[in-house]
Amino acid sequence: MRSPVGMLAWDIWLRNRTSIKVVIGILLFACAFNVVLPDRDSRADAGMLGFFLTVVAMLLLLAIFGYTEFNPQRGTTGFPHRLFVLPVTTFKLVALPTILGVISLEVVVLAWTSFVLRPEDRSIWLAIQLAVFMVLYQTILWTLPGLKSLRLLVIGLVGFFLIILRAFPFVRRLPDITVMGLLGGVALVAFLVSWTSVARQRSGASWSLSSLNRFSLDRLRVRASDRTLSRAPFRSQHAAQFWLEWRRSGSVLPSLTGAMLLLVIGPLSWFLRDDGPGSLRILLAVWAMPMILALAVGKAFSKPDFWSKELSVPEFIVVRPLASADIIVIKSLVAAVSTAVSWLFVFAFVALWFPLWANLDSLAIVRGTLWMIHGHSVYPQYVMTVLLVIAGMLLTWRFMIGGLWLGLAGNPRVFAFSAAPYVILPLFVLPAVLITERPILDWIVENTHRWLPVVVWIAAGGVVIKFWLAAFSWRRIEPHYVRRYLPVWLSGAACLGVLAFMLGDLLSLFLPEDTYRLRNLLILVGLQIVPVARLGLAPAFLDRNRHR
Amino acid sequence: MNRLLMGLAIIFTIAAVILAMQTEMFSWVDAGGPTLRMSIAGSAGEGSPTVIFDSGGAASLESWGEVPSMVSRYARTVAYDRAGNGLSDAATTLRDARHIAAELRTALKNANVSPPYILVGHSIGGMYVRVFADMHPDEVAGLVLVDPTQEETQAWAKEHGYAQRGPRKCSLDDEVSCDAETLAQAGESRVPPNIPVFLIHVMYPWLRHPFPSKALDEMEKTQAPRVEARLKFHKEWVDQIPGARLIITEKSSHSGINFEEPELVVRTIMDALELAKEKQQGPVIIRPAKIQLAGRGGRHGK
Repeated sequence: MRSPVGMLAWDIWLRNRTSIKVVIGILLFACAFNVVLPDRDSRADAGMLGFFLTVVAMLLLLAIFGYTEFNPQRGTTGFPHRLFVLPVTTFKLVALPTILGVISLEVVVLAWTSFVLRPEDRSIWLAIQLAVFMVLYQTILWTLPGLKSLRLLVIGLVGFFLIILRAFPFVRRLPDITVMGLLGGVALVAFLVSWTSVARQRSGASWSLSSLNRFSLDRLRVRASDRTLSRAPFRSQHAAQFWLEWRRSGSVLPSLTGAMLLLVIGPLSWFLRDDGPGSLRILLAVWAMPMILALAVGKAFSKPDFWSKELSVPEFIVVRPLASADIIVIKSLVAAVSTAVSWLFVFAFVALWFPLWANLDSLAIVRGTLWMIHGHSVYPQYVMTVLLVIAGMLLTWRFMIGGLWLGLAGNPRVFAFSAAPYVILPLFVLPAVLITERPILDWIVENTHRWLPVVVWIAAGGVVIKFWLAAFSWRRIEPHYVRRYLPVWLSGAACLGVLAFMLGDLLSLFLPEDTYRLRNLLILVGLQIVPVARLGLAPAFLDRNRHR
Repeated sequence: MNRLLMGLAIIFTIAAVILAMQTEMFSWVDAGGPTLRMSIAGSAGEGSPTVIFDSGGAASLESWGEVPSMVSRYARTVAYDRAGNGLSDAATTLRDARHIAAELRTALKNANVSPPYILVGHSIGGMYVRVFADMHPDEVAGLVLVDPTQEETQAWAKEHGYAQRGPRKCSLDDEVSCDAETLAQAGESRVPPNIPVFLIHVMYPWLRHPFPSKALDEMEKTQAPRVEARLKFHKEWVDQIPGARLIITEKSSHSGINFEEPELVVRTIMDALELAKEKQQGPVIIRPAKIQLAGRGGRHGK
């Protein structure tokens, strides 16, 4: 190899040649696509196929240029430490994957915009946003290894903000060149941060964002153990396990919710205080946020140890004098408290935001429409609001505990496979719905009569499978657990059923379809939200993992 | 198996199958090209009029709320989606009133719904039923216009800068694009003599509600002249037709009247039905024209 840089590039190629070949294949397919379907209309019709192929190519590029490896000494995944011994400057070590990542992403974007998109749909913004995203993505992966899987959440948030950046009124007011310059500046700063952080890691210095992160976590643990020593003994082993579980994982969701409200939603709501529709969108975001966060946090929560990459049960837990079913009950309770505290933060924010700086004009239109539809009565909208909040809380809780059976099973492959939608959905499917030239949502609305009958039967099948699986999975669980959980399930299902009933009638006014089918679909979906079968499976899976 | 949960599984299996099987019954009727979705309910006595509901612009039959089912207790009702709206097929002819009226007539014939008809039109549907009545006067036993769009009001709005849209080419897929043609056809149409005609005038052309809103306050100020003009033109139109009645309501808004005051709409249709039956059974006695006020303590003559 003539130069170290060439060697590094060769290393990337060797380790990812299959993925790179697939990306090249997709690009060639895009070219062929253009030759076979030269006219505008055919290309527009096949645009969705082109879009999904591009998404696959981009996913592969993100996987290749994430450029991380597991470091067994630190127990984290970050910038490959084996490269630190090479006779190459840190700048080159960091710059090469960054530049190659950005260039490859741009080539894919260029192929897509040239061969698939219509000329009027092409935009320089997509290329700029993706380039900045690649740099930020690498920076997050290399500088925050201590956050482990939570980095996915940070990456998702960064990606989401880049996508919606130009929708903010204060950004829209800026000239395009200024926004481009700002984005370029962000990418440059991100690169400098990665460079500095990797240089610190290479020199073995104690300071880096990752070590800072580990340091703070260690301090928290030390403080927690101090408090353990100083406090009164626990009432029972259940109480001790609850305390431990809350300290290890329960506080993550409320902390994230509070941080998001304080650092993101709060400032955003202030910037949009004169914008009625903007305030309405923020209200929706505030409602959805605990659920979205619970999706990511719940994945780690479902593992035997929140902060460990290992899926095997820690020895400390294995020898606890608790039945596996008890551990599941305690995890579910911790998730419930976590959910309640997170929603308490949401209520507190809304209680401050509404009277002080919210623009409620658009909300008044929504309320007015409901008031009109309900024959000048305000009570149905109050009932719906309460039920929507309960539904939000139930969904948050469900996302926290829904994966317990998978996480506690201890099978890394199954666990990794189940995590795939968490990356694909926010990064690709959601933007796809928002930006495709023939929005999927339009298709859904226009073809309700085609998909609705099928989906209703699928939902009915889901309900049947759920309950029979529940009857099977709870067969070895002691009856007192069933008696304790069933009222919880029934109350949750009843609330969701009433909400589905109300929403179904309302939806039929905006989505002309068979009113019964729409309403019944929502009821059937509502019956599947609160988990039964999977909770019943969790103790058996934990048992097996515990005695491995 | 856990016995308690097995019991629940049996119950929910039955419930899920019932929920999946439950469907609303619509009629799918050929309208000489597109297939239209129709909801036909109630039963008509011998020679008794059938009530036909024509929705507002781009709205589906669901925009009538509970009104058709309430009327169907006393008469046969037909609510439908015009071609291109709701679940009906896309249109194959231009979306002006004459084409729409012709489609409706073909569909009613194919659905074996025979005249006489009481035509109920909301908003732009009001113009469509007027044109239908002009084209087939022998088949129409009464007209109920629920806050109808009116040619004079539209001309006034255009003149005073209230019209939001500029002129557009009449097309197959947008009935509002053909409003120039529809307005002209409605202007030329004549109401058949000796049939009951009711016009419900809604005081608020926008969504009106009790919740604090700067936008709503602003709307009330800027739209005040339009509110007056709408009332003036509706009154003038009713005055031209012997025996026609104007009913004014202050409780509802243009788009929401079928949900806000379904009883008012139903009562007015029932009055039209009653008068139409009187006409069929005996000498025609058309009550003198009058204005009625609905809302704020009910409905009373003036």
